[in-house]
Amino acid sequence: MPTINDILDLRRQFEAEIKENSKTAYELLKDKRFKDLVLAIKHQDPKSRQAFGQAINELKQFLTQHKKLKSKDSFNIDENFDVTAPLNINQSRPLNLPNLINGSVHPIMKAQNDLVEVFVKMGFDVIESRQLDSQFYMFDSLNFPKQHPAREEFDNFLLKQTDASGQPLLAPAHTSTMQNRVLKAQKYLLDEDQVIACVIPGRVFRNEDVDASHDHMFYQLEGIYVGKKVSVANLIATLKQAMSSYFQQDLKIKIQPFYFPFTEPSFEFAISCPFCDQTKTDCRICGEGYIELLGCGLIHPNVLKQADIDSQIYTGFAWGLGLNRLTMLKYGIEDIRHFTSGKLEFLRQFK
Amino acid sequence: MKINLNWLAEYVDLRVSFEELVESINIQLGEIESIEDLSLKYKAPIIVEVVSIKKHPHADNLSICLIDAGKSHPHIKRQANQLVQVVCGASNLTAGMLAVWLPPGSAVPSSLSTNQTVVLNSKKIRQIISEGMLASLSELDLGSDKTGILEIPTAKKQYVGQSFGDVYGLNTHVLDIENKMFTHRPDCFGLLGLAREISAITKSPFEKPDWYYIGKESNLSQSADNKLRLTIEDTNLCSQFRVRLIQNLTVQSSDLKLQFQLASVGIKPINNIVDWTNYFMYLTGQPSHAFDYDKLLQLSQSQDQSLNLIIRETKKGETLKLLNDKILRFNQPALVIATDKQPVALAGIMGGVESEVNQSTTKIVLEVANFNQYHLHRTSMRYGIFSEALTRFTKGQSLKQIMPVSNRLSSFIAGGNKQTKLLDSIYEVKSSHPNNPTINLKTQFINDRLGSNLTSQQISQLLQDVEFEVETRPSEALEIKAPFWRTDIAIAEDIVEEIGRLNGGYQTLKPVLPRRSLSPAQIDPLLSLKSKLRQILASRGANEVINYSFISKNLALCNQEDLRQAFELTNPLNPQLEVYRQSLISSLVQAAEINLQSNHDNFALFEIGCVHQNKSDLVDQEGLPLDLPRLGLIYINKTQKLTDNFYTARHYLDLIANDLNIEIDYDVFDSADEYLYQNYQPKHLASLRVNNNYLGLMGFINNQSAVGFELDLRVLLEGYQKSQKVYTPISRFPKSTQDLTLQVETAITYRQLSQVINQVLNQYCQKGWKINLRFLDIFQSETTTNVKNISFRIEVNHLSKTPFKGEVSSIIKDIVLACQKTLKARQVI
Repeated sequence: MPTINDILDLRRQFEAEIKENSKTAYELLKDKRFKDLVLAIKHQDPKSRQAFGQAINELKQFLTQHKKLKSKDSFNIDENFDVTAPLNINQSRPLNLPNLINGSVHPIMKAQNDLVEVFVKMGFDVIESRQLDSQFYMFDSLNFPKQHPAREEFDNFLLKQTDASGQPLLAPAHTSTMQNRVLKAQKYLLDEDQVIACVIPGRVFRNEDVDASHDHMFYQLEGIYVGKKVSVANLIATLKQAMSSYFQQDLKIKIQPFYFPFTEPSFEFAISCPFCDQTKTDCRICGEGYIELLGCGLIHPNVLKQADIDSQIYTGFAWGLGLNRLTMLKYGIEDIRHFTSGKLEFLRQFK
Repeated sequence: MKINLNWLAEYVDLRVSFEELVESINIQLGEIESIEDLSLKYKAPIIVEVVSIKKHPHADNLSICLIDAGKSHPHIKRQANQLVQVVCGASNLTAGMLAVWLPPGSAVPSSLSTNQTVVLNSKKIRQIISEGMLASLSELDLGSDKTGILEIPTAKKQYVGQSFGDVYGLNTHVLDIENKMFTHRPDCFGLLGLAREISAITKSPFEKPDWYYIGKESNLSQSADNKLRLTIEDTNLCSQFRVRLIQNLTVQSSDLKLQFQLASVGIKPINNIVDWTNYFMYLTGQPSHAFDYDKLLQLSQSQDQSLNLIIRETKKGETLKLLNDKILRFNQPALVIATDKQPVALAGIMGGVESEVNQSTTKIVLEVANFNQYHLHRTSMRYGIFSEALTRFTKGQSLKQIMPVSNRLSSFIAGGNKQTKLLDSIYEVKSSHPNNPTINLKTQFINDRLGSNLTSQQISQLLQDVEFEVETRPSEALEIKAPFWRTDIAIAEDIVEEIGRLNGGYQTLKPVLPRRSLSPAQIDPLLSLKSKLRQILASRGANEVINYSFISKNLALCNQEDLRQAFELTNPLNPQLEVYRQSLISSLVQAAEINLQSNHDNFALFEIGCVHQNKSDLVDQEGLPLDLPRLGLIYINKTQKLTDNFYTARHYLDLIANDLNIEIDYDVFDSADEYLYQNYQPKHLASLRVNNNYLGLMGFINNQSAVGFELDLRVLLEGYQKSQKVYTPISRFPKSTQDLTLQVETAITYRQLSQVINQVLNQYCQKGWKINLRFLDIFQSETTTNVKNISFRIEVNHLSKTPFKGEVSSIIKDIVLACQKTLKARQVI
């Protein structure tokens, strides 16, 4: 009776045969060794049948995909085709480029760029976030106790690979994963009686089911500001100014208490809706006059301590803003999945 | 957390309007997620007396009732004696009973919780008019019982004709505050904690329940009667465990008021014992659990009618059937309450079904305890079991409320029935109580962090409003002690949070922009490069996409990515997202396919993103994997020859090179090189270099009618940063221009030819000549496909003289000779 291991063995054989070009995926799909295993599904023990069937299915998918991408026909280019030349033989200028007016920058990247520009004008440095990180930066350095339930609230993607301490690496769930690095690297500024001011845009990941308003991958813009006597009043003024500048109108704000392990106190920051006159009527975007935009707060003293910054002398604030949501609000995009759809019908609207 | 405002009123004498209350909670406590107006459901239903019942003439299971609805709903048709006629099919109808009448025009309350509201009217049921209906518990949306109509105790007869909601305190609002706000607030998972906060932020008096404040510490530990012995194996996992034995109980449904109170905040009424445990959990945040004593005895090996309860970790292979009927088999340690024979409850999370309190129960073991919150959390995640009790324990409940809750709860359970005797046996095992720390700070500390200007008196008052002990010391110093239920208060910054919130909310602070240093902002040069590339490509008709970072292993294999170098997820969301991608091209190919399917025939898609490879040389100083920044582009044009597409795609690279002022060297890919991944046809593949560093590959995508390239942005950035535009003075002398066409065998590459030409030109440049070589085109006639003609335009200039014709000719001649010698080229004139 064949087992799952037999399927895996066969897959390895098939991979080798495809690599050596001794057989095509098309031939392998009809191969007797494969067909025998398919037939063996119904003789499997009921307990293992599902797993066995799944493994067969994966092998079949592998071959089908190969067949699709690798069938030998239709690639027929002259032996002497010259990849180093600037033009094809007998090809004339101008070149047949796509219609120039159809070009577009991705709307999230546009939002990121515009926001970064506002903060640069205000004096913030810019550093990009990481897409793969250790648990130390994602949690320990941010005052999440080990085994704290808040760690799971982030629905992390963990990796099979580990860091030097044996902890699994992870796909960061927030751009705050950069806080400790930036604080450490810029601590010298505090010694020079300057301030740390930095924004950190980047791609983050959460293991959430995908629907019209959730995706497992999205973009955030983190910000940190540390100096002497930095207060909540400073935080409010900075974000209010920045958002008013981004939306090019004088916004009102609303602040609600919240909880994050890495800030104390913590808030949710809402702005008066820039897309209506806040009369609480039928605005398709805000509904009630205000839009929740970001989470923020004063940096927790333990976070400063992790970066060797004395929290008795220095204080600071930090925020994290979701760029997908901001972009969706700005354009009235109804489904977050459009961002990663790659569809030209979507992309070409953002010239 | 749901708050029933009528229930809240037992503890807070609100001095603000409903709207002000909602605003204050939003700004000073936490976001209100939803507001439910219960009076929409319970204003219209009326308490009625069923006066007479007779059989329905046309239906065996229906009866015609005449009910006394008092003076309510006078517009509804009355029969003799002012009675209303209702047809009802309930089996528990008896004359003289009190019931709840849903009059015509009212909505069935349970239907208001669904999308389809059912509004009653007076209608004929089998030819007999029924004015509305009599309601079951389920129809009232207050329980699951639909076996008969809800029977109201006859003691309520004085309320006949009154609104059901008024009589049972249900004509009120239920606010639901977002739980996430209370992640660190054990007290706010209880109504008492919320009431205290609401009292403080609305400046309304708080009715302190005396019993909650610890009087004398009980010194009782093991009771002398030996009916029960307690053992805690590890006090790190269970720091306090207190049980009371209560006997002579009658288990029945709770008083309706209690049932409705619980149901209004989403807790399902079960019976008078369980309901009281839930009531106190909802009130204080302290969970408790009642076991059936006799069932526990049966589940133990005890010979002498004494019960051993052990709080311990499970042994491998043990099982437990929970109250939700799920059977757990413990392969990993979980904390349980066990008899000497077997586990009987999953500690702090859920009781076991075999020791459940039900109709047959007369004697209970009432547990009020505290367990290690991290251990419970781990168990819950491991076995996928969640409960209201767990939610509260994982917030870190105070040990000091165990005794008051245990005492109060016991007396409520015992007092619910006058016949019940409280068997006052208390068993307790505990470790020491940690006391909340004393926090010393100066008002300046708070004002600096908030940007406020509060005095020590103001701060003291705000804290005392929520029962902190505050002592003011000289020079604006404060000594602060949090009340026992605030286990979350540990450091001075926690006090800052309290003050900012309680003092009218943070938005009352006057915004002040921070001090700004005048040093210029530093922008990550890679990020600037990325913005530049976006602009270059988008302004030439290309469209930027973003694709997922994760792809399936299958796709990775098809791209010939080496899976041993792929970072792999242990918990992929779905099989399409298993590994970090090692190239951008594969995702771009998928995006291109989608657009081909919707009949786009000339487009370029690009992505600026990162790839990852698990290789020892691709790590930062700490050994963590690097993000490898890339630019990928795929170009498809079905309106021209596939081979022409190659050069159109290359045009995007020419644009980049031009804008960044770098030179990209195109060479034929040598299969011995292994750099970027080979999503390409290995034949006709160009490898690209800048300053002799590998930039990437460009080629035909495996059997797509597409051409793509993928660039290493670190190399591009380095090239960009090193590039220098060198100015050369403008020559005063006129330049001479001449075209040159060289014929070579088709197999000779453009690169070979241009290298030879440039060698010749370099020699002249060193002698003060300024020579510009410009490529024109490549021509091949249909008849002689073994050769091709490559044409250039040569501009010759000299810094200190006018070049005369002979000199220009000799330059051309040297070029032709060199090409003839090495590449067998000949000049075409």
